[in-house]
Amino acid sequence: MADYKVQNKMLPWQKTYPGWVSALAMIAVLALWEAVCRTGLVSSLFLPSPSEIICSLWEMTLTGEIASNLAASLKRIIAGFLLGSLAGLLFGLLTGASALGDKVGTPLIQALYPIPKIALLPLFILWLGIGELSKITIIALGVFFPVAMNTYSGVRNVDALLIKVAVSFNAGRWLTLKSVVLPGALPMIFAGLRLAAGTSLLLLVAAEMIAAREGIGALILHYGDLMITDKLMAGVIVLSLLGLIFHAALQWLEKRAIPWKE
Amino acid sequence: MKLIIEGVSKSFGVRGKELTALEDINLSIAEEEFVAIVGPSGCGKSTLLNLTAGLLSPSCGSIYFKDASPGRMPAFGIVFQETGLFPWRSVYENIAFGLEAAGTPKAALKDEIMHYIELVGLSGFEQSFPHQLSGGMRQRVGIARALVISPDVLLMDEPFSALDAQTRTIMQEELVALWEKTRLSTLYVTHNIQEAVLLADRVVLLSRRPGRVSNIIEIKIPRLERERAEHTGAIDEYVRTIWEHISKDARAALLEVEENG
Repeated sequence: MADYKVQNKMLPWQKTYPGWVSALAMIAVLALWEAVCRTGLVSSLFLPSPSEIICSLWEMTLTGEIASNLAASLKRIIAGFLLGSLAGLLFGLLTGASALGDKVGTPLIQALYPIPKIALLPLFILWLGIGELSKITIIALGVFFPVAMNTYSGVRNVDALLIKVAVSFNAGRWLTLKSVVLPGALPMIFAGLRLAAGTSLLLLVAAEMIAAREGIGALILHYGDLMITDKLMAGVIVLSLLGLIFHAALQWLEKRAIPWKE
Repeated sequence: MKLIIEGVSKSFGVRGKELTALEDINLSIAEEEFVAIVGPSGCGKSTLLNLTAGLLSPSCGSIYFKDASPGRMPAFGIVFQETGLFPWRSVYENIAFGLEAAGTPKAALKDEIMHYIELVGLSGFEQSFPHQLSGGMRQRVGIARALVISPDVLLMDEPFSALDAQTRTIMQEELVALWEKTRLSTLYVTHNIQEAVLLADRVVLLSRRPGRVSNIIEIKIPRLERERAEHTGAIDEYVRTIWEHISKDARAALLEVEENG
């Protein structure tokens, strides 16, 4: 006869580590990178060390090179994102909430969605000129699709019971849409906006590499042509920061727009 | 073999505050004994079941099997509250999971699984997915899944609480019949007093905040006779007594914001 103590089998799944572990890992990767560059294993032409990149970034910030290019990029991405997400939101609500809108709009979306949007840039340049408008349009178009599609499925997936409740109180179409359907679809809409944030950054850089003299994408391409890798990487760092800030801003907005979540 | 819960306490840190869910619980489940735990919401009865199942660590105290046959850790069969069936697995595959985890070769599973599918009355639904079944049928799958691994102890966490009253009554009757066939040591958590009185040998009452064993009531009517008319009065008397014990706590629970799910 033996005794057996019951042990917690969930422990391996519930293990947690303190926050500094992530910081340590990050520092370790950077240190390794620095070491590889310092020992001369890799030529700094191909892979500049983190310290060189930071120095270049600092210099470029002081000369105002970063600021002017970033301003140009920001203008394009903000305008494109706002335009595209607003249009996507309206289109998604329309197709999601109206049977006719669904029949007319959904096949249209499905036909246009698979087109890689950047392929349309030459056409937009032809229509709208090489200036800002063609770039903003391409970003707006890239943002439009994920937002429209997510809004559509968000609206479609609103709990039918909640709509029944609203209708039982004789709520009209508009009130039901505004106070039940839209709030119910918000979590999906924000998922779409997050998706669109990535797309917009991608299209921004692509458009700037094809047809721009200013902007972070143009800067990266420029230093690539000149083989000044540390400045190229400085541009990449700026993009990465831009992406992080974009994401954080959306998170901030989501928290305020959906206080009932969780 | 006996399952012993000895001096078990459990506290959680909730938003910086220390919350004692269970305090000094002492309880044992003998072989072939059906023990029900009853208490108001928030008394920590599900926590106690999770501790027993080895899905949580107690803050102090220990839970162990006494006089088990050596060489093998005794196994638990657990029936979860919201069934916890894998939506992507068919009825057959859901029931097979425990055997797969135990390393039984797939080919050897079939007879065993079909036996339990028949036992819980799900023949013909082997290939159905959980979403195609009614709530009662889903919980039957949950029961078959727990039984198929031939556990030493059966743990049930409010298994019928999501069912409607009629289905619930039927499932209770089926459980009694099934239990008489297997006679597994069982720990059964419920907030339904009637259910506890109909099923259990002993009903353990938990008080709340912190959860303590406030009383243990032995149900002296033979299990298979409890539905008979001549025992209605006695059953009602048990139910009334238990309700008297816990009603004050239950009312207090009603007014409290849910803190730990």
